[in-house]
Amino acid sequence: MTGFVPSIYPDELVYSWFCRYYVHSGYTASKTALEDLLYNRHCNPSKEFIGHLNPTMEQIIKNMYPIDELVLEHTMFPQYARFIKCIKKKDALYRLGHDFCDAHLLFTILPRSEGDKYLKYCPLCAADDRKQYGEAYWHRKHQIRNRDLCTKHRCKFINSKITATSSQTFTLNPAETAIEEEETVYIENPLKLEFASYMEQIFKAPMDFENDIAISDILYYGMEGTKYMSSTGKTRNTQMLAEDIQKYYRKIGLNEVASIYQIQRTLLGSRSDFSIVCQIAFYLGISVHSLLYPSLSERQILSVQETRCSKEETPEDWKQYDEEMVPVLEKAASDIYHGNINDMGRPERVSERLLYKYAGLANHRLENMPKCREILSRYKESYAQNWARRLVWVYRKVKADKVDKPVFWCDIRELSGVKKKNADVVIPLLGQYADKTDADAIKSLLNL
Amino acid sequence: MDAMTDIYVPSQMSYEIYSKIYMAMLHSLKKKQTKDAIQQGNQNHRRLQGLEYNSVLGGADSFSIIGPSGIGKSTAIAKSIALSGGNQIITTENPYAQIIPCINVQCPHDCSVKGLLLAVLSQVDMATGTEYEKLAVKNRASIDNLIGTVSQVALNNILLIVIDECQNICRNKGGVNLVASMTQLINASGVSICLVGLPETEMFFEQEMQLARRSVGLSYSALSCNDYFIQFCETLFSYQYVAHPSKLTPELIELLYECTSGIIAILVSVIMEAQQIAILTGKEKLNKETILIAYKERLKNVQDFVKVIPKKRSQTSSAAKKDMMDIQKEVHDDGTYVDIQAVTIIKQSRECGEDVIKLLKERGFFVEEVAV
Repeated sequence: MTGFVPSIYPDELVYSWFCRYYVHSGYTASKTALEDLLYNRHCNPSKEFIGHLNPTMEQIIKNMYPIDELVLEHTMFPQYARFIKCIKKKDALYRLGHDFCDAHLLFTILPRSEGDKYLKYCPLCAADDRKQYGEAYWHRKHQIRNRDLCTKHRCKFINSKITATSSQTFTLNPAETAIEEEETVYIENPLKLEFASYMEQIFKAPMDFENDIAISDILYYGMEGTKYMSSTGKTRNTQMLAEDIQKYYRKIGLNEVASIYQIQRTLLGSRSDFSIVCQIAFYLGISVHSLLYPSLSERQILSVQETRCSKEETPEDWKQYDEEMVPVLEKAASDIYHGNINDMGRPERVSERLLYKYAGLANHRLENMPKCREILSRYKESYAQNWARRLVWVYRKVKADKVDKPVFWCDIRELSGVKKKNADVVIPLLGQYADKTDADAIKSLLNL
Repeated sequence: MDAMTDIYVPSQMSYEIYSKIYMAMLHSLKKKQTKDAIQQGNQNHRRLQGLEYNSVLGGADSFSIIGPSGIGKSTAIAKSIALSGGNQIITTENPYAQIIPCINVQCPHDCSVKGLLLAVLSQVDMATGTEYEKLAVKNRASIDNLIGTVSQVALNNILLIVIDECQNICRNKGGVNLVASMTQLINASGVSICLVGLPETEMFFEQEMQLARRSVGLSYSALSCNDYFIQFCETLFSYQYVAHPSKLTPELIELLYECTSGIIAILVSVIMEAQQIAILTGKEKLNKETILIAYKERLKNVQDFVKVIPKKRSQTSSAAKKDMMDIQKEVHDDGTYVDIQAVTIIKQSRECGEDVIKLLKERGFFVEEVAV
């Protein structure tokens, strides 16, 4: 049971709120405050989200603020969920607030760069907070990744000594104690300030749970009319775009500039990292309003999807597709098994990876194709079986090539790729693939 | 008859105490959740962490209620607290806080600072369901840490701390230390502290300016034989359980005053005991006789402490005083009894080398030693 929980300040992180609870509780150690706050002693406080709360504290908090409001306005939820699908957004919001789920299971949370390893603060904002409230606190918008300046005071953030990750966090570190008097460094670069302001506006904007237009579609139309897209819209020069973006942000002095791979994946829709999206959108001149509240028609969205590569198309009828692909898979499996896929004709082990490659299937499709999976099962063999089969084939080939000359182990070894250390498991299986004479000859070569 | 102990007739002292307590609670409440309080909370935390700290709130209310035992100080305080909100916790939702109007603790007999602080935490735990005291004991908190914790708890959760039996401060050499700790607590928490004790507490606080400042407050003595005393006697006389209730006469009032010296607790006891004696002996009447018997036989221990102001009494009153036993008489050769002269006794003590005070007392003389 607790006697006092302070109010949360505007734009304050929940973690900071818990730190202030610890300050005003009168406890000497943060461990005691954590026992009041969290579910059990194995739970760590979360710096960016809420964490798994103790039921008593959960009730007190829910009486003070709606839990959804806490997640939306006092955690880093907008940074990670801004550009993901609506259904995932809603699910994440519910699970963070009511199930206290680990955020790593809900979003893609990338490793932190050097500049984002510690909690950041603006010394002038801290001074303002002390003047207004009597104490400083950790601001949410100061912790946006890849942003190191305060747009209100136009000065650089200072890295505190408190780590920003939650994984090795066992204590509560209040801002009032951690923030020291530091010299303020002002930033004059207008572009850098503008970009920081752009990111902040997107971060602070209310979350949209209705509009489900993919961010890749919005960025696609942002490229329209630029040198990075052909007039038909079917071709995009991602390489040029990436190079120009990197040059642009290096000039501004951004800490972490998007790589070509990150830009590509974002434009294709398989990633939606907040910082990458902001970099692309800002460079392309997409306004905050257009980014957050796009008005694309169905037709426009469809036309974006048509420009994507065909192998990314998902079959509409899996059953039909499965039946159609059976002969293709059968041929591919047979070719792999009998060695028709390489120049020397060496038989290979039929694996899922090789099937996808030689049948031209996209990854993971066999999961939805039971008939094709049967083919894979039929050609299934263990590594030992495959080594034995290879050895027999190589021995016969070498023997045929060498005619009357003796066959040595090094001839076999190079072509088959089988190592002598696997002899124990291979020897018993030789009889399955060769007659006694050849099996004994191979055995004697292995035993040398 | 036990109902007589529950009788309470408000006096001027009651109004003053109520007013003082109410204002102290209000003053303390106004300081809660202000910017200064938040800054002070942070400074208290710095202190708990062993960092440099300052005091922000400064001196808050600290006052005393001093008076002899039995005049009704604790009862008046209890009634005032009950009227001001009593034990009803004030709960706020945002920020979430459980504010206790008053914590009542006794000053430890050994003036132990730790004992007092743990007693405060224990009271808070009982009222709010927290476990501060248990944690402090488990962690073997030092006095400094305890002061920090109690300061934070008082800053957020307490309006007024009443420390009763403060005369223990004067009787123990740890008293100065305790007062210093209380001063520290006041400065760090902004909570109001009320010190309640006997008149000897005043002598302690008069020693130093900073102590005197902390004990500014209310000082009372026993009642004089005034309208309030008469009204109280009349109220008590309306609670007669004897078969033949009697009227309250001026002589009885005078007798009661002489037996009790204006101390309300003794007055209630005298009347209760007198009624019991009247019922048990079959007299069934509350009168001079039963009152005197009650005073002599049941209230022997208080007689030493009741200072009787000698005044001309009417013939119907016959209050006997322990001090004034019959002076012994010496028998002369002719068989007559003559009072022993004081000068004779003094002469005797010089010859024998005995204590003259002892000899005079033995002979029945009333002797009072005064400092010159």
